[in-house]
Amino acid sequence: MLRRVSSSSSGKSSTSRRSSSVGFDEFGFALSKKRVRKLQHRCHDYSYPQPNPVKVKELCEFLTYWNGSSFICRNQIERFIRIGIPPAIRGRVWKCLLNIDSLRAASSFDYEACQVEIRRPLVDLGVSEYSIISTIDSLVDTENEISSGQSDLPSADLTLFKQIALDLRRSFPTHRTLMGDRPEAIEGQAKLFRVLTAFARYNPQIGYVQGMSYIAAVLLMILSEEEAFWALVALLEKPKYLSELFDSSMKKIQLQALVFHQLLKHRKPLLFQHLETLGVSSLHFIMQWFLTLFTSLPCWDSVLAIWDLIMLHGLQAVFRTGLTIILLLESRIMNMTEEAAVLPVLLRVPMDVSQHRVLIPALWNTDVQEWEINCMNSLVLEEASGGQDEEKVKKESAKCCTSSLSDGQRDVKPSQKGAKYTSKKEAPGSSAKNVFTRLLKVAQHYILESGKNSTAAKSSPAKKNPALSRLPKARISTSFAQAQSKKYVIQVRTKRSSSRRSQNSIQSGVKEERLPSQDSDGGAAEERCVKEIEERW
Amino acid sequence: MDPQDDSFDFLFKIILIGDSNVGKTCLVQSFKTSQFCERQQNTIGVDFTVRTLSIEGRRVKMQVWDTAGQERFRTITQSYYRSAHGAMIAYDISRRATFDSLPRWIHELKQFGAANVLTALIGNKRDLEAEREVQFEEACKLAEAKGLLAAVETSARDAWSVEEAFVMMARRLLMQNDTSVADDHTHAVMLRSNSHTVSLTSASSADEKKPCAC
Repeated sequence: MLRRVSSSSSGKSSTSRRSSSVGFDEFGFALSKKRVRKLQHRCHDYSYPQPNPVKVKELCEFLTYWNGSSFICRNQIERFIRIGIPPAIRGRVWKCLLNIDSLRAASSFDYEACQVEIRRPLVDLGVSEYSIISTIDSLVDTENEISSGQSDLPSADLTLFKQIALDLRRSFPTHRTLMGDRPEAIEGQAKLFRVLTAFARYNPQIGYVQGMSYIAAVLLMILSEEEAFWALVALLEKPKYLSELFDSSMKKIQLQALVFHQLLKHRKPLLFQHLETLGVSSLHFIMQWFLTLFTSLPCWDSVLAIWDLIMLHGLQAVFRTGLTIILLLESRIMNMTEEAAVLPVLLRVPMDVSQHRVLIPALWNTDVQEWEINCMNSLVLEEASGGQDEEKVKKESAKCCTSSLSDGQRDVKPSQKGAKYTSKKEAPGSSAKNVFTRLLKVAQHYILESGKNSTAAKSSPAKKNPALSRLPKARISTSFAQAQSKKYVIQVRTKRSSSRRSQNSIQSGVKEERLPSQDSDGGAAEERCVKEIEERW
Repeated sequence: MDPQDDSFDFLFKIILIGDSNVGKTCLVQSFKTSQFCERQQNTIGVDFTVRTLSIEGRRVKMQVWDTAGQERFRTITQSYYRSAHGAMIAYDISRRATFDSLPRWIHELKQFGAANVLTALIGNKRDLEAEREVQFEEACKLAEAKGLLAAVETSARDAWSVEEAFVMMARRLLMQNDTSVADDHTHAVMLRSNSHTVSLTSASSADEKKPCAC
């Protein structure tokens, strides 16, 4: 892996002649003076691997055959993402992963027409998107005109425009496309304004929420303006990604914080307990991490690599990244004795942890499955809905906590056995097939274990296998019935069904009668399990 | 770098609220590092800063919860009000609208905060004197009418009165919790803004309201 050292971008500097004194690094971030560097919390030493020309060519070729609905394609692209997407091709990859072209083709929304519509009343007020920041005050003055009916700009729109305008220079304020009032930045801010206002038009129920400007700005750094708009639509509306996260109630983000809380509780009970003792609320850092998709990390090569994975796996990859970060900080956090020490490192993740060569390998070695998140999700909903059930859940969770204490560092270690199941060593547990294999293995493991008592289970081979040991724990914790393979069938089913809330009914419904036979006959159960899963998928 | 020096005599939680882009984060940064960052990012959710002050030999740890200004985050930031000992409501002296929303912030604080939360109004961006839209007297009047601790004008850019504002909060909170700390009147009258002196409290009376000595 070649380590890169930042340099002011010589190739592109011709486009920014006027910024004589400011240099930018290869990703467009201003090389700040030492004095303010710490304040800005930005690293300019990149450590992402140099792309291999052969692989780059392969990737380009592969993208021409891209089919978003093909498992093979997605498998293949994961391999490329793992190797590292070269910056020059990133836009194409994101477009493919987000299915931007088909999204745009399927929608009746006309981006250009929307711009015209937004622009008209602004022009009447003597305001253009290129001067929106400097004219914000005159916009304030027009509020009176609006209320007296002299303008056809609704006052809700005015509030919206004002908020967006305020954030234009506050989203990546040191990036060349947004920094200050250089011509390039004026254009960049105008683009960002247009994309955000268009989205607010496209989805008036969400409108604009702080955090979005960071996401849109990253998209604009990689994609063309209209592509960035559709990418934003995909990210903020598709359930796979961040849908509902920016809803006006902000309920979903609070829910996600609880889900993360549970995930941590089951993966790292000691760390979880420590954070609980210090009174650190997961919502506090989850909000920043999730709503800006980790763009607050100081190392931009890491941010982009994380985004590549998020584009592929969606929200699940967001949890995965969050977990990776907190695990990398684990030893540090465990030594801290107060909330006031913990929060700063979570809100401003230190450079050493954020570096590509540290964070990204750790990210690939930390496995979080979609069904696992779903599982935690139902657990949280369950806890929220019932007081009586809560006690039960707590008991179960406590059981789970003690049982996973012995697992130590398993999360950051690569899954050794996992690689055996699949031909692609680079991506353990990430392909669909791999998930099945694991589910089956777990099911088998549990069937074999069902006769033994729980202490025997603790010393079982599962302990040595990170991939396997994780699955049962999540299961136990959910306080589902003590059924074995049935669980995983249910999980797969629920994953496919749109409503997670129907879980209980599924659970207590159709599948129940099969349980006894599964318990008594492990082999047959496994076979059925395979069949069931294959059917579902 | 992290505040592992956890020895302190008092710990006060301060919540910093106010409209978007009034300079809340810059205020905290100025308090923490005495530096001004021209290019500040907007705050998502709630940020957190801590600094330990030394006041009359006592180590006073100030935990500052810096909140996002956008309405949408209100439901979440409100949950931080309850545990706050002190609140600073910031507005931008060059933007009238940010001052006009102060009553709403005060109301919210009353609704969700602890009953005895100590509150100060902070008129930031005093360096933009030429663009001033809010006179200091107005802030004083409002503070008095609402029974708040004080109104202070600051400039995070010039690190003007920022430290003093936090120290004033710390001192007042200390007084409430430790009777041996005297109200340093000389300090209070040093809090000048725009040639107006804010007297935090008349030395003798227990009256919490501060007259605005113009």
